[in-house]
Amino acid sequence: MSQSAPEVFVPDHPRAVLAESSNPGSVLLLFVALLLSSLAGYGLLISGSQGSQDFPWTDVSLHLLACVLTWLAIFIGLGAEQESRHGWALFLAMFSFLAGPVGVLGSLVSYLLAKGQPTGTPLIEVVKAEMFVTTAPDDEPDEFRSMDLKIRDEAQVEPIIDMLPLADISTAIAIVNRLRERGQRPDIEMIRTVASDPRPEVYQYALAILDKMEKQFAARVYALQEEIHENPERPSLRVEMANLHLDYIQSGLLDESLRDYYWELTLSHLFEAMLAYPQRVELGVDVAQLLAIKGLTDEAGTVATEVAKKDPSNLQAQFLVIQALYERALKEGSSDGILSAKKVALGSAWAVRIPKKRAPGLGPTFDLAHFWFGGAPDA
Amino acid sequence: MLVKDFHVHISQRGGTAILSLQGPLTGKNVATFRRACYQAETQENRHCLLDMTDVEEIDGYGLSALVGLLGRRRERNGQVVLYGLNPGLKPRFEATFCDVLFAIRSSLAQAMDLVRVEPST
Repeated sequence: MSQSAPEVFVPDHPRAVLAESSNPGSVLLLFVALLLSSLAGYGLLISGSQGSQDFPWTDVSLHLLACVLTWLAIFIGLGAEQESRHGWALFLAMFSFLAGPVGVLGSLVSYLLAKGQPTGTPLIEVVKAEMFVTTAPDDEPDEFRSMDLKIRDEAQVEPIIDMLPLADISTAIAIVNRLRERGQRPDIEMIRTVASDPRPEVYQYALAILDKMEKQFAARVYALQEEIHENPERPSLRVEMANLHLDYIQSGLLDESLRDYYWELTLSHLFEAMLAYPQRVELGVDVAQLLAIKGLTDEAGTVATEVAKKDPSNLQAQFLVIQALYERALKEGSSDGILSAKKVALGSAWAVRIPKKRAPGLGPTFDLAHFWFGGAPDA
Repeated sequence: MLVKDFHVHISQRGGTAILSLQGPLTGKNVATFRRACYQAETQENRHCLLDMTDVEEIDGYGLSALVGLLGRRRERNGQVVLYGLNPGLKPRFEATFCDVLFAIRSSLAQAMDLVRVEPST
């Protein structure tokens, strides 16, 4: 079966925009409408102050005429090729009717400022670009199946990101919205980059999005804090809180200067859980991993070694021990260290629980070797 | 309810900062401890000794602050050594594996010997 390669999305026509110049007839009509509406407003004010009991038919008629002129001006000004001209003309006429002379003035200013503005929604182009990213045939034969690597990790370019420097304001805002929906760390870091955009509309929107996401995290932390306050006997809530803080650290939302503080806060919740449940040795692995995240590889290895002594079958602890030995060997440039890491790996193998399910005809040695070096699927 | 104050006294000896802690090193006092640590760090001291003789209580927040100090000292190849640790606190250090993370000595002299013998790792 032949597969057609996905094509790079390139917009085949420029985005539709309103006419670059204003229609002089429309401008003239709008000025007349403004004059009539102002006269009507003035007349209404005078008749009100003189305490006249009659209904001001003349002034109301003048204002209605101004609204009709506004409708006509917008209808003519947008031109026959603009399908939405009926709606816009009616909308601005209603606006003028309700807001009086200020409404007519608003209609005039809107008409003058609208020239050359795009009429299509920019989101359509972003969606088209996204369709290019996610195009992947799903019915390949098994022997030709790809590695299924995430394109965003491997690709040097990504359409919606590449559009950013060239995007107009509304497209840039649509891209920020898309990045927010995806919500992964690189996406949020990209929003932080957009927050330095020179255009006020773009950077203010990006900052507002970041602020909203931070508030969502804060709300979750607050809710969990309340739960911990009400149920102090449940250490699992502390572990959950540590996880939440770690998510926040790794989300890309956190400012670099606060990273150490939040790392300590994460560790403190984990320690509180460990103090409440000293027999839960596996939490030590979490401590070791947090130390490794901080770059304290030796300390992570030390803690993991202690955990492995108490719970020899703990695979994560063994992995961290080996990783610490390996990194130390790399740092010192010593091949002996790598050898000792391998010895530890083999020495620890006796403690690994053999998976119950294995293929017929394969013995425990194969299972162990597969477990350590091949990654058994049911491990 | 009796509120116990927490104080940190900072001194210096041969390129090593000595922080003498007094009072409970718990959540509400961690900020004071952290400020003292930053103050000691600005004095270009490489190693840090913590006198724990007068610390009768410590919780998860206090322990994590100690580990945070260890992390910052490690970045400049320094060490953190605890001495005079109250035996009542030992189970807390063991439960959180802090007993293997920190070098713990019984006296200032032994702690000083350690940073002289092992200037960096």
